[in-house]
Amino acid sequence: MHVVIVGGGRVGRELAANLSDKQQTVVIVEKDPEIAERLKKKLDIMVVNDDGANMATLEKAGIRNAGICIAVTQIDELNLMVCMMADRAGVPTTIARVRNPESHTNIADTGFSKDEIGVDYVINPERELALEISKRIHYPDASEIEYFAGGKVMMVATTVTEDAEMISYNLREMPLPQGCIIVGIKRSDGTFMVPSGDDTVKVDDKVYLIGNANVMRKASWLLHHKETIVKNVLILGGDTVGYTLASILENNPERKFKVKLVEQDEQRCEELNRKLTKTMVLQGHSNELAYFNQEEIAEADALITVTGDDRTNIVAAVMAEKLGVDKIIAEISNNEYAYIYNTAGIENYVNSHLITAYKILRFTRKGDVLALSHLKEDNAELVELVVPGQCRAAGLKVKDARFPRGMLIGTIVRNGEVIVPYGDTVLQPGDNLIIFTLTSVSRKLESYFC
Amino acid sequence: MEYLFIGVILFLFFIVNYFFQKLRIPPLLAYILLGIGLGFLISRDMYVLLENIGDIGIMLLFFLLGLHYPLNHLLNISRRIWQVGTMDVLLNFGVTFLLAYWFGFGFFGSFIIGGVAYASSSSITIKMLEDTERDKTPEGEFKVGLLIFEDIVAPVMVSFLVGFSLEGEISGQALALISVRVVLLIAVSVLIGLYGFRKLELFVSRYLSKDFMLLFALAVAFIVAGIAIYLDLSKLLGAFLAGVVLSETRASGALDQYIEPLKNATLPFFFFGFGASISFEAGIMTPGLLLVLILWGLLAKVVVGFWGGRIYGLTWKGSLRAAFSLGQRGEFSVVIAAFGDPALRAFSGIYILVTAMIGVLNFHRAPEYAENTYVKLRKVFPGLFANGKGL
Repeated sequence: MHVVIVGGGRVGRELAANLSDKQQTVVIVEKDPEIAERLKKKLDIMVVNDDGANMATLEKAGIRNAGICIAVTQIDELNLMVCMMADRAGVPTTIARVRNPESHTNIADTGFSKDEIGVDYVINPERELALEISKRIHYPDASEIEYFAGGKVMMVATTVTEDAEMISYNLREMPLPQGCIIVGIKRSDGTFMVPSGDDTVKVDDKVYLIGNANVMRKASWLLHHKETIVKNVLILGGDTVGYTLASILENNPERKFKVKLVEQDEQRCEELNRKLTKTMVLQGHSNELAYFNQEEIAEADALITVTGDDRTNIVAAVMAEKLGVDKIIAEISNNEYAYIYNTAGIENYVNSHLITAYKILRFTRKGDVLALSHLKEDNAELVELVVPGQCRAAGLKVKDARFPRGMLIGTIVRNGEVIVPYGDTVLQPGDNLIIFTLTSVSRKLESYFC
Repeated sequence: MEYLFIGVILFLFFIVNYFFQKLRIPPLLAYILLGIGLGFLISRDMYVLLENIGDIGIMLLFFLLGLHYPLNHLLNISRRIWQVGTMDVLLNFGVTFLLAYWFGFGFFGSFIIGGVAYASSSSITIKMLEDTERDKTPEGEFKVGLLIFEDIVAPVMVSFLVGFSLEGEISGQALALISVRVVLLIAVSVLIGLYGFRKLELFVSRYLSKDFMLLFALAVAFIVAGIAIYLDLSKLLGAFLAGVVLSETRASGALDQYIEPLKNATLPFFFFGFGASISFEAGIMTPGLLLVLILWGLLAKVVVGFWGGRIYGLTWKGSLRAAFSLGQRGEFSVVIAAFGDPALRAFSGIYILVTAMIGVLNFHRAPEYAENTYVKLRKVFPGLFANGKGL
């Protein structure tokens, strides 16, 4: 498939690299000559160094033959305009990144259909990031977490602790609650594997569990032997992500969080106080130490650093680690800082660019792919798809489908029921599958399900 | 003659303010002491003049405060403050009432003493928050919430006393009426803010630099405060609500700058008048009870500030800072004390003066006290911090 990406920033680059790996034809349109040159050298792909909001430029990039046009520049309006032009040029799927939540909402409120506007999918990175953080706050003992099938199925990554009795069993005999299985293990030495029934888990392994959302908490506890309860949430940074996260948490119908948000800008604080209904907004001093309120950080159960500045986030996260905060989730823009978090033992850092890129990548897959998640380790992914009526795997037993090693069906959701499949389970058209697969073999999925 | 008099008073304000600042003592205390010292020299007419200027100052103080509390923020605070407010009524009014009753003051006398002990001084607290630059801290927000709660309860108490002193009893109907008025004033202000002033945003922002906008803002402040007085409610509550309503135009910052100098020039007269209003003519009766009540009055506010602060969501240290910043009684206590006989007025006067002085000094040093108390608390009650939370 021919994919045109307008905008060569972090998201554009990640998308291009991933799609290029999957043998798609990718053309990036980037206005900045320096970035364009860097992309050419680093990714070895076609780059049109020109303004994307120009039909002639888009035609140069082959927009008329494109299967997908993805607009991910820094400017919301430009992204929407590019998608509208691509739609007029006959591109079947158009995707725009829209950062400003007001613009994001307004699209639905304009009274026009998506067809009329010409944008098939709108991705709001700030909202996606806030949702991702919110998931982790709800499930603080997981280092990674994903929901599938409308929340019925969960993937949880947790670290095996010394006092977990599960270390004495192999996977086939492991007394995990019914409705969940271990689909991946990352050993403490860094090796990653899709396990078989004979494998065992060891202390400090990072274990990936998939299964019925109702039993995951218990399953995770059997491996981790710790349950963190988060009530007091402190958010550092009141920009879009902080505000969106506070809104999500304060409107949560199931759990009551006490949310505090620290923002250094006085006017922004006033704005937040006008919008948030339960969150306590604190104004930090307007200097570089504004976010380092030790008193508040020390009493928080969870600290979320979304100041928009990597270095501030790192310092605050490390300070929180020293002060004994149970759950720390840090936003990271530049992945090169990840090693600092790893060194400090902070597992939970989230990158909005990667989250955005992966949300978009779902639309680039063939078949009825409902969700796509890449694990932080970057060498495995989770795909949620619907088994089409006419495909190679439909009607076959799992053991007869001959899936490659490194690919495992975690769960099947059939008629609303969550099933953990075994060899004799027959894959039926309309089944909702959640598949755990190593990135190296994920391309083969299409041959089974398209 | 009035000009000369006001000029001399202003000059005295300047002198005492200058020296108190040099001595690092809150200048507010200087105005109160000046009032106590010179009050007996001032004629009735001059006192009324000073009182009127001071009333404008205190009203502007609350109006400016309201400007920084948009409706949504105020609703957010009210969700958390009602429990603390109830605790405040029970401990400061309720327990003081029982203590006085136990000492034989009778129902009416005990009610007055309970009322005197109930509310922290809004004017002193807000002014101290400003002076110590703690007005934008979480505990600052907590204190403002509690003071507003007190300003809502206070008129109900006053109406009770008016009814009792006039007719020897208070009817349920009169209490219901005053409650309806409080709800009415707040509800109408909220509706005007939401559906009226939000629509004036463009108008206000267009003419913000014009001098007539100051007149517009002052008109709103005086009208709402006036309506509150007409309804027998606190003018401070009215002025605060006027500020809240006007904050919906998003012009708080600029309006604040216009009005601030006017407030700074008039507010010292209020504290001077407050000092002058305290009377000691009848001497002190039952000094033992007075001492007990002062100690309880300070302790009860510490409990409300600390425990209430924790309920509200403040940190341990934030709650302790709040605990040491609420002891001062003031204008509302003076109003309540006026219902008593001369002996009770003198008794209340000393109570108010002592708590105001100690309260102001404690407020000033609250961060230091909080720090020390926190360290001691951790030593004495390690179980409180067993979950590892807190510095």
